Amino acid sequence: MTPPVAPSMLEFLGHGDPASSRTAGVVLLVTVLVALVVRVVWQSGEPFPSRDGLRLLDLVAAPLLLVFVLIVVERFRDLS
Amino acid sequence: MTSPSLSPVGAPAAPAVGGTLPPRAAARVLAGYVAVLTAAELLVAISVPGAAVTFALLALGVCAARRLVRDERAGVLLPVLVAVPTIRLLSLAAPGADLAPAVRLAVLAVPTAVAVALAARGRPAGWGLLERGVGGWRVQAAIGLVAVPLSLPVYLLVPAPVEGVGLPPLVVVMLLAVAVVPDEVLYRGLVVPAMAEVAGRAAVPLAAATYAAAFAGYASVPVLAVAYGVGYPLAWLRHRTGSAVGVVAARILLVALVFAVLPALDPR
Repeated sequence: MTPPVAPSMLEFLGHGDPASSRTAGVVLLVTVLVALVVRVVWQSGEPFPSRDGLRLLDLVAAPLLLVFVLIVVERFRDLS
Repeated sequence: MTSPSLSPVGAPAAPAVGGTLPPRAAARVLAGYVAVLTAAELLVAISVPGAAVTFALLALGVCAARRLVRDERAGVLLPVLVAVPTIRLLSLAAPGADLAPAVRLAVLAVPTAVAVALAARGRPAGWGLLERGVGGWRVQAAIGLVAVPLSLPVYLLVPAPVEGVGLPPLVVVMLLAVAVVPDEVLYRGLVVPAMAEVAGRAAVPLAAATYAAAFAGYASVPVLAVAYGVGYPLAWLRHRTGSAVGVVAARILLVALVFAVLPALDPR
């Protein structure tokens, strides 16, 4: 592979190891859950929660949640 | 008519005040961040779950740091620092080992674009991203041509095996051209001015090192050197001109040259 593009963007060219991807998917799900729980705790714990802090958690949760949905869709596709 | 001078954009406008880190200390903190990123990338070769956990902890750790850091500049820096490990985590976990490359590209590129858009949200107006920048469009067009000299060392030191992908080289180039846009907007468009806010002159080498860290997983000194060698001039040009348009064009041209033009011209 070559450096014109970072591995994050180049990985679509290769065929990754499904088992590794599955374990990383579990890490992703835990991360989404942690980000969402911390967001709720921060929001409920303070009368004026830091907007910056909530934005950061959104930044973690939103794209990972999107990937999680794609993982679920793929699992259903495998079942059918 | 005199041509406008090129001046750094995104440099700290005011000296550090109480509760803010001086540039050298901030540069040291950012160097630590780059070191953790590099370690996580190295872990990818040994243990993907281990690397995924490291990226997750880094992203969540930076979120937690927002509660502790009083520095106002952290509000613009931390989203960018969160976006990098988040994108790496999603790229490790994204499904599609059995998907067609184009579908897998969409599966990766859409969440990546969402992460980059969220990181870009609320950026200061002075950063510039897809604006004309200092010097106007002609300067941005000239920056795009930087890809020509950069492509030679990239091609010679790290040849690109597109044959193994199972797609025509032109299709690979088109897919990669789409893929590098969010990548470039993040690593040059956002990382450079974000680091310049806190680290001043150290921002360019730090941004280049952040980009090069993404290639640590290859465990190859030439690959790392080439990645840094590509990242440094692009980061410097983005810093000096205050626009990411030229460097995005340069990356697209670089992909086309390395994957399609140079292999066609190579007599080997």
